[in-house]
Amino acid sequence: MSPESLKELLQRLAKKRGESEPDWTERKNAWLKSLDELYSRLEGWLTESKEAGVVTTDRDWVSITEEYLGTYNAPTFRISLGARSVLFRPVGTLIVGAYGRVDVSAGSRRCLLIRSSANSWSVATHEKGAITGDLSDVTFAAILRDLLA
Amino acid sequence: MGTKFGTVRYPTLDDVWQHHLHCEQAIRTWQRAIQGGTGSHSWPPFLSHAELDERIEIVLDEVGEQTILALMASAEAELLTDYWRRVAKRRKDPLSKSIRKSRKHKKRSEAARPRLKEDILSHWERVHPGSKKVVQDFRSLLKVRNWLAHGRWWVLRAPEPKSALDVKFRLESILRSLPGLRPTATP
Repeated sequence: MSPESLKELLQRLAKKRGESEPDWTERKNAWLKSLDELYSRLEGWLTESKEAGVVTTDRDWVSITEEYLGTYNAPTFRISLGARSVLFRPVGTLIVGAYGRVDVSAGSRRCLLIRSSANSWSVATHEKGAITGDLSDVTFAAILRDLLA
Repeated sequence: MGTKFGTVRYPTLDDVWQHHLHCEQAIRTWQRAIQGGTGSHSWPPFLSHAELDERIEIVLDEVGEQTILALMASAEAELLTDYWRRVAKRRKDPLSKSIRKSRKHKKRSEAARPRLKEDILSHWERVHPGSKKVVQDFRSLLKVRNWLAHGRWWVLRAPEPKSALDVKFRLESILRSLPGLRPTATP
């Protein structure tokens, strides 16, 4: 049996790598989709306030660089209440112990949204990362109260 | 492991470096375990991999500083054991003679505890003027060693070494360049 050539070796390693590694493109797409769904949920909870002219919302983009995923644009979400605003800024999907993280900030006040599974988000404190509850209209209101009070 | 002086075994530069590599390897393994969700750590949860990398780099930098201190200690041991060999074996070379002569005027307590700069490096410079540059480099590293050993609370005036590996290479070169020094630091 003839020895494996360099080309054959690299082809074999590339094939093996492809079999054992996650589909990073799929991971990124799922992450971006989950962000879109998250912001839609937040907008849904804000519908009445928006219609009453109390708040406005807008989306923008932030550039994120992650290992395996490279550099890509992810959407941010901003809720404005007069001169004050709350920014939802995605950090990435490669997070220790979670599937994604969004940092929520208003000035120096912060908290975290943790994507604990494909479609589930939890609220956590910024300082210690302690989970305080699942994201719901109630915890969302608590976030706004804590950050804007 | 180590080299001997009398009955005492002490670590060589290579021993210190091996330990450094083991530490680095362990930290990288720990980093992968954290990323995989199985490694415990004292940082806040839900760090991004980039944030974790930054923290790991700080840990590795700290290990590097500790290694520099250990490398310096090993090199100091080489110079001190060389000093005592020259005293005990009554060699006839100019450096050994100069060292023994200087001890005659010392009090017993001073002679028992030779000082690295005054009793060893100065002799090297005086007896072997060609070693001056090498000794100067060692003196520069001694400033780093003192800065590390005494808590880094002042601004280091000497240029900070690029890495622990840089210090290892410099110390190996220094020990190799000093004439008549037994090169026990490298196998």
